[in-house]
Amino acid sequence: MTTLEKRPTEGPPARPPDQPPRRRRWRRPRKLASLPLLVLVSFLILVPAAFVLLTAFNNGIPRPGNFAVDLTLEHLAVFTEPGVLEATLNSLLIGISATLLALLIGGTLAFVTARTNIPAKGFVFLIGLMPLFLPSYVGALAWSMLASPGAGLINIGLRDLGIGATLDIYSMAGVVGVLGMFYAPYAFLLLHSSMSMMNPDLEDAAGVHGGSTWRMLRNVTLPLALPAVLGSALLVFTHVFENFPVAQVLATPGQIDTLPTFIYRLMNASPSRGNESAVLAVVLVIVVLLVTVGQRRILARRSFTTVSGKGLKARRISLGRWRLPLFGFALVYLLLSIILPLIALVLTAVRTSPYMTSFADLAEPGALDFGAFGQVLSSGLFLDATKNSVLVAVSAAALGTVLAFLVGYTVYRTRTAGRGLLEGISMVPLAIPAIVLGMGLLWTWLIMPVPLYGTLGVLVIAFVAVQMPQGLRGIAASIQATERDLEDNAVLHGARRSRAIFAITLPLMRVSIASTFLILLMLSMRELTVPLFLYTSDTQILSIAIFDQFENGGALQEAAAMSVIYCLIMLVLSYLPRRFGGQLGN
Amino acid sequence: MRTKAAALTMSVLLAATAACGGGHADDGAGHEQVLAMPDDIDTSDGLTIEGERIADDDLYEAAKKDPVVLYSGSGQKSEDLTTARFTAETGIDIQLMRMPTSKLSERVLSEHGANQLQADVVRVTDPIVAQRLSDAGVYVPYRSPTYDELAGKDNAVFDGGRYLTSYYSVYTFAYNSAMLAPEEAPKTWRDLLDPTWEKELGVVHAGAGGTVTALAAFHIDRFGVNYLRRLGEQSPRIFDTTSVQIEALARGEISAATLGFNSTYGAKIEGAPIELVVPDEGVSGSFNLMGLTPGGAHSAAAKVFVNWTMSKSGQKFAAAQGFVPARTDTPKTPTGKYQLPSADSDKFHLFTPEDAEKRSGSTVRAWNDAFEFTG
Repeated sequence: MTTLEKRPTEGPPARPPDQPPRRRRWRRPRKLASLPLLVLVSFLILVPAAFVLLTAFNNGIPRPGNFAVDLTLEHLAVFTEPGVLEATLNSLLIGISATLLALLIGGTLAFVTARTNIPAKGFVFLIGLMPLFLPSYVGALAWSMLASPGAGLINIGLRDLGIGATLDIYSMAGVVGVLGMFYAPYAFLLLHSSMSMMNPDLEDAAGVHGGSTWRMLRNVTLPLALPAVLGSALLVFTHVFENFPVAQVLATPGQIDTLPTFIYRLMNASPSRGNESAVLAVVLVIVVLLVTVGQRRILARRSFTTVSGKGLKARRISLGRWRLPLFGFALVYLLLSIILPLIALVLTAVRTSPYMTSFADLAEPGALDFGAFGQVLSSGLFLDATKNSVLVAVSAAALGTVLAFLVGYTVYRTRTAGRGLLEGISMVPLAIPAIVLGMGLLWTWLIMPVPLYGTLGVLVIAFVAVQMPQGLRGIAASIQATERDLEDNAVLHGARRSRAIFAITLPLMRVSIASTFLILLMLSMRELTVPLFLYTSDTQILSIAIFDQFENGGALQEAAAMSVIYCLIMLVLSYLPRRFGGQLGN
Repeated sequence: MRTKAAALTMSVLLAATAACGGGHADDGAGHEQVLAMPDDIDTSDGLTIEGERIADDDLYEAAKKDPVVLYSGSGQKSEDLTTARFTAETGIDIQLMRMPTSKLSERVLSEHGANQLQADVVRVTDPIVAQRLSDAGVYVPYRSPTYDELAGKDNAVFDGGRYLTSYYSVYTFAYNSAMLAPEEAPKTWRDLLDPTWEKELGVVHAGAGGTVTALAAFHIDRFGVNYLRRLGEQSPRIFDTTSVQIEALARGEISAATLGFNSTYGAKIEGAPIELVVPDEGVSGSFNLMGLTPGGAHSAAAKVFVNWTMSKSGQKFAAAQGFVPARTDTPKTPTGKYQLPSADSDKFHLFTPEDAEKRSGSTVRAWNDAFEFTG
């Protein structure tokens, strides 16, 4: 009898000879997988937060060399101060209204650019993005110049034209309008990235079954966009709620108090009332934590997978007669958020006299002097501040994106213990007013034996810490929406997890990763309140220099000139990752 | 491609404006506009200015090597002018970090507690803050050449020489001269209560700092608490800082405002249409206090800075800017066309450290009540 060699025609793939049997392959114990990240994020965020918490209930401010823990509840008396309740209600009202406005603007623009046949789509995309170039306080300064009741440029123009109406930007409506306009890009980016990755099958199914476009949008598209909508609503709300500079420039002159300006005033009181500010800050943290937990609960139960590797394009909707009106809407937004503010800044920078009764004054000889820009460009302060700003922003954005991806992956793609805690901790900076977090960071890095205080490094760390939530949100919606099957399949076929991530998940997420890097870059360039306590004479950054010129120097003209140049720098900086990301996106 | 071209065009435009732009040098070169440079600066043997010895040879040579690091809570514009003048007169470099006093004190105490205090000289505008810094060891004793003369006066030298008064700040009021003719403008403190100025005034809230608390105390002492109430009934716009207020006044958002003399004067000489008033009823005064830090005590440049500030030349420059010099033996120097009362005049109502200790809290509360203000 002969034995024939049987050649296997099918069977399990041959295992490479050097790889041990699967069940003996070492895996990092599940429970500990999130530990290094947890430690890192805790340190970055919780230590400063702990200082703030301690200050709320301590006698005296914890300060290096003055570190006595002596707990007390007496600071809770701040809640009985008459202005606190009003400030809180104002903050809530402004927060909700501005969030709705931002979602309306951002959502509309995201939808029309991602899913419709609006004319000049690339241009409209830029419109949705551009207000990110104008830091919100620069926008607020500009709108203050445009619409302050006495001397605002628009009001002067209205008087010149004989129209009796007066705009007053120092009002609730003014504050909500400016905040909504300048935070709309956050909603825009998140919603755009979600909508452009949507799998068209479900919508096609709705169409096939006879649903109208409007019905399809309501019953299929919007619900699928829900993680992005909720994510951006949360982000915008907490940002607006804790925004200090816009409130300081626009709400305070109208005698409208918000919690952050109230806190700022308490801290700037002489002597400083840091303990009471910290109490109010703790309240903010609790509120936002509740909001975050609520959001996770809502989303945890549903599957929102809309992105798969099938490579289909999201369905294009025809706008019909809505094409031009919606395009007009985009143009009006451009006018209000970019064009008018820039004109106001340029005019303020080149006017030789701060006082103007009519636009005819500008025609007088000597009324304008474009040399202001030259002076600013050649000043040592400007050059140093610019160099520092760019260095810090790029480093913080890169590190922040990496960290956000690692955290996002751990939280949304693994089942390790402690991932809920990781997400919670990452969101904490959102709820601590930057001004109080800034103090916490100052104390932390003064005490640390690592000599980072007084260097640009401490600014980078501070920015990474304070922007964790935005980074995570940017990644989170996308991770939740990206199918995990592909990655899991790769692992099943023998790839290591990290290889699978690099080769499959990251490319699928390239649009949102590029968006996240962009958001963090913009945020770092704009960041003002956190570095207010951390900078020293030789680590000034542009945002500080501008605010300082205005708030402490009364040098509005210089501030305006610097703002214009600053915006141009932002424009250039933002072009780079978009170009790069755009190539990836093709 | 289009965006690149646009960016390139913009860069070219900016470079062109830079080339055409300003014959002005950097911040604060306008110090000669405030007061002409002294004729007689002698650096042959140490530093002597107008016959007064600022530093001996060893000190001066050592001082030229390193810059002075000054942390100041005094107004930005005036510190820019002062630091530029110091460098012009002495040839020594100085780095300024300016923040409002309350933020500054937080910063200084934290840095000091961690042994990382970078400042050589710290200047604050609140006596309570200065004493706190001194108690914490931020200030160390130092005797400038004029120490003995100053020590003989009230309110000039404190805590065994740890800190001293560089000069006094004055708080008064001003109006927008493009909006108001001189005959329409308010001339006295009582004029501000006129119904014409309802909703046209600006004030800084009394809790914002020592200078404004001093003003509130002056109003209470001179006119009674009722004055504050009636001023509050004018519904003025309430600001957190003087600098933002001055800007609003210059733009015409408000017609008149109570404000610090020196910072307003600084804005005026830069072209703002503001006219200051030194009313006959008097003005309030508060302190600009400074001292050397432990680091500064080892810095020759820092010592020269303190010496210069307290020299006749330094005090004259302060007066020309709109401060009241601490020294009363310097010749009376006008501030442009204005003449401020001297420190020993009865028109100058100083809010002393004892006043600050005893009355700051109650004064701020009274003001907040009168203006229905919280915070």
